[in-house]
Amino acid sequence: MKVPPQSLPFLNKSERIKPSVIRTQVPSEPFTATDSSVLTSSPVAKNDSAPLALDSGGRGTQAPELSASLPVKTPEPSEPATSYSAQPIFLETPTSGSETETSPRVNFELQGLIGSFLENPEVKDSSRQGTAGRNLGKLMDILSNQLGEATGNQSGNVYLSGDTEGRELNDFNTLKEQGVLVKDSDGNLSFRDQNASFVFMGDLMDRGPAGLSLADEMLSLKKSAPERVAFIWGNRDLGKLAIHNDLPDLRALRGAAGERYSDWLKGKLPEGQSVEDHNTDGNQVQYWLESHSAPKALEFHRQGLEQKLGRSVDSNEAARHYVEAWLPGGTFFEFTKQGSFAAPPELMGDTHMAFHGGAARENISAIPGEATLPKDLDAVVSGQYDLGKRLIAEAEEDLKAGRPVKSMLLSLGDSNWMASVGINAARAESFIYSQRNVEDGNYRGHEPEVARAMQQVGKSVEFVGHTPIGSIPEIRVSPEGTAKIYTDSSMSSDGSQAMMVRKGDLTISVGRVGTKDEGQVVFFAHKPGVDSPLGKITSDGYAVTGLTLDGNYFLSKYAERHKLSQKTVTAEELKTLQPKPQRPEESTARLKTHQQVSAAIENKMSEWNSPILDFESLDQIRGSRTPLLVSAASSYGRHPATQDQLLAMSQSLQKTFGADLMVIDGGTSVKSNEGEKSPEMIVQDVLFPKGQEYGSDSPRRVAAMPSVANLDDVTHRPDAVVVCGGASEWHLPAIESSRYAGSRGGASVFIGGGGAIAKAIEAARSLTETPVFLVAGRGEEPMGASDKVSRESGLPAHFHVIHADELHELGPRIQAVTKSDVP
Amino acid sequence: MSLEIQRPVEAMALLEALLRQSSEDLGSEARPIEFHFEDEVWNFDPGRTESRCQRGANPEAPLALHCKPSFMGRLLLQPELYLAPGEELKLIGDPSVLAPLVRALGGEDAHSPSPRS
Repeated sequence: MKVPPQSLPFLNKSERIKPSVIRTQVPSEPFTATDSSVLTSSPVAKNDSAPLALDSGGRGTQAPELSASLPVKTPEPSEPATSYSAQPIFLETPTSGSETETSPRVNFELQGLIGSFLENPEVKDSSRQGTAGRNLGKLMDILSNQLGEATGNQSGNVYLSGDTEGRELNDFNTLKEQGVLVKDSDGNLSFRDQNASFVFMGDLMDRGPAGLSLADEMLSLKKSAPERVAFIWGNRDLGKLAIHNDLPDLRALRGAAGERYSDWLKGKLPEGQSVEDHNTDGNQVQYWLESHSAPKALEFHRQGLEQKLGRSVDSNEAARHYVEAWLPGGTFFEFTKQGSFAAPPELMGDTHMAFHGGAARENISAIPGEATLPKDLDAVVSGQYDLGKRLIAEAEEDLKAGRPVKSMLLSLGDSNWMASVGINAARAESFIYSQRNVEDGNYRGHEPEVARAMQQVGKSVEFVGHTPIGSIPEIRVSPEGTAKIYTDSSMSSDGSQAMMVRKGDLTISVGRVGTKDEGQVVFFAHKPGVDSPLGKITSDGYAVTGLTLDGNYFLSKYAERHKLSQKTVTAEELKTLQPKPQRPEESTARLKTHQQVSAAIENKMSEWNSPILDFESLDQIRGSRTPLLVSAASSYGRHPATQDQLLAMSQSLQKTFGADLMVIDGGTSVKSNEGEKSPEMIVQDVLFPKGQEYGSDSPRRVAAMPSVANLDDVTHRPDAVVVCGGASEWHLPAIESSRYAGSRGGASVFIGGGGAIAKAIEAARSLTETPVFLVAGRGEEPMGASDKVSRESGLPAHFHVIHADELHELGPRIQAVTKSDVP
Repeated sequence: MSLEIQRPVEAMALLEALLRQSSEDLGSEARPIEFHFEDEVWNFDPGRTESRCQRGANPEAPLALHCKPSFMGRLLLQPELYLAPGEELKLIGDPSVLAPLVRALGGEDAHSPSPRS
């Protein structure tokens, strides 16, 4: 019989602990010791009649009834001890190298002792009675049977750590120090227990020299147990793939990126020095990494490479190695290739899930690029995992062919700094760059939508990285009972020494607040459905983060920029603080719940005197008109296509379709941040001349409304509004509109297209019944997101690149493409 | 108990002595075990023909046991199994590795009413 490996808080010799619990059964109350085969002494006297009785961990009446343990025997068995000064054992890392040899002296002593013991009557008596075998059997029973049952007989522990960020003191090292992972003489890592698993939570590199060695080690571990090791992408990992997209422009000092790099380099050089003379590999990569929030990454990589190669390395060599490491066959790419957006469901079980950024109501509503909505959260998890695998395979093909990496992988993997509006914009549907884990001064628990989605499929725990905490995991339990566990201890000034384990539906965390020599061990065990103070918020605004070894509660409170106020209280003190499940206050912008969104849309439609329809109802107003999705967005301002071209295109559309056209607005017909009109608005200015009311003779227009946030910015009053399935994603209305248009003999026209539309264009690849036109200026590639799609090898047959001044031909082409295909 | 086991080398010698006194073989399925005694690591490798107990780590061992030598002494000699105050016992790995030792050291009938003779 095999059970998961067990482990224990790592204790210093100097630490005096109040004896904790001997536990081999999952507690009914999760707030005592770690549930493991760590057996420590307890203040209960040995009890022969009930040899498996044990104590409460010194916590008096809160003690649950437990059924299995080793008893503790004090030097005076008749008088149970009440306090102890005995030192706990310091768990040393196994010795290595020459220390592993048994010296002749030690061997001589060993053999002498064996001879002596063979003659010892007590040993002989023990041997006759089988005492050692009995005791070992008892120990095995406790560990195998009772712990196995307690953990649902699930095979091995799943260890999680993440956000190493290249630091040498990190949670992955903790697994090595604790003997969970072992290294052979060739330096290859493997699990000590062959049933154990490991999930890396993302963000491998950037802030220390160990990025390269960590990638090597994790790949080594993955090789030893491919099915039991998984990596989740962090933004610091996946975002680096974009370096290959930008380096050509930096090298050639061309384009906007080249200009910015040139300016940066000029600022670094002494007067009179030319940029061209200093346009080195080192400077290119340094600039690129600086502009991607990793200013020291190249220097750290240089140091790591020196350690690996055992010789000196300059910044240019380090830069070349760094870039190559991100190509297929290179360490970082191969590491990334093994990852995905989500932990594989087979490692996380039915009850747990893990993402780098975390689940939010936006990103659980759809799988990017999929034209259909996921049926539940399980489908989201597996869909995200599969999506990542698909996209990284495509990225590998791109890189092998010397092409830029596709936009969706990168835009889902990192945020983009939008200088014009001064915000760091991330795709709301990204599971990697979640921006809302910290809000209004605290770590957020699950939003109600996420908690309900988790409950629907029986999930109780989500692990997340990305959002720095202190040096120990932070847990937040929602009013619905789902737990969100923050694991990113990268900002801890003391480094991190935490260990996080999933064992069946149980979650165990052990960490240390403070330095290795002087820190305090804090731990928790969370089991779904068990009521405890864990993860709740006290009346003075602290979160209950765990227990200390002396049985007190450890509380923490978000202060500022991931700095925490922390304190320890007794169980009695905690009662007075009345911990309750709570969500942090939501910001004003996010107080618009779905109900409020619906009400706002209704009000706006009432104001506009426009009906709200579903797509099926559209047929009532469509009549014989041809539905045409027109969707465009932000790339206009940066594209050489002129306003005149767009005007000409629009006039062509109007002339071609006249009153037989029904335009569906993809939902992005809003003013741009700079106050410019989007291409879509220019097109519609022509289709809907100023002053012309929407009457029966006018081309009918429908807006597929994306979200209430845009309602006040919509500049073209629609005849009707279609609300797409409650989704708040901009791309979903476009996808649904495109599908509708195609199924009614219409088409989709994408002009430019920013990030919001990119997914709709991607999704349109699978809508083979819908002709899709990517609009380009004369002699130009299509704009924006359309451009990226057009550069894909092998555009689908239903995709067409069309130039703006050819648009008058669009009507006949739509008819030609679709008449025979559409039922 | 008159026999005091205080040092790691004593604990390992005791294990070896008990195994030599046993009429049972460990069997072919026996696997190595690491023993961590505070500042010393030992390992027991049943595949070794010379001394099965050696000082040093064995990363191949599927089970590591952390305890004090004195606990090992009680484990191997005393009918009552208990932890002394402040003591800690930690196992990492697969407890089934203990099975051959249990058999060889007479633990098969651990639940029978009378000890074997």
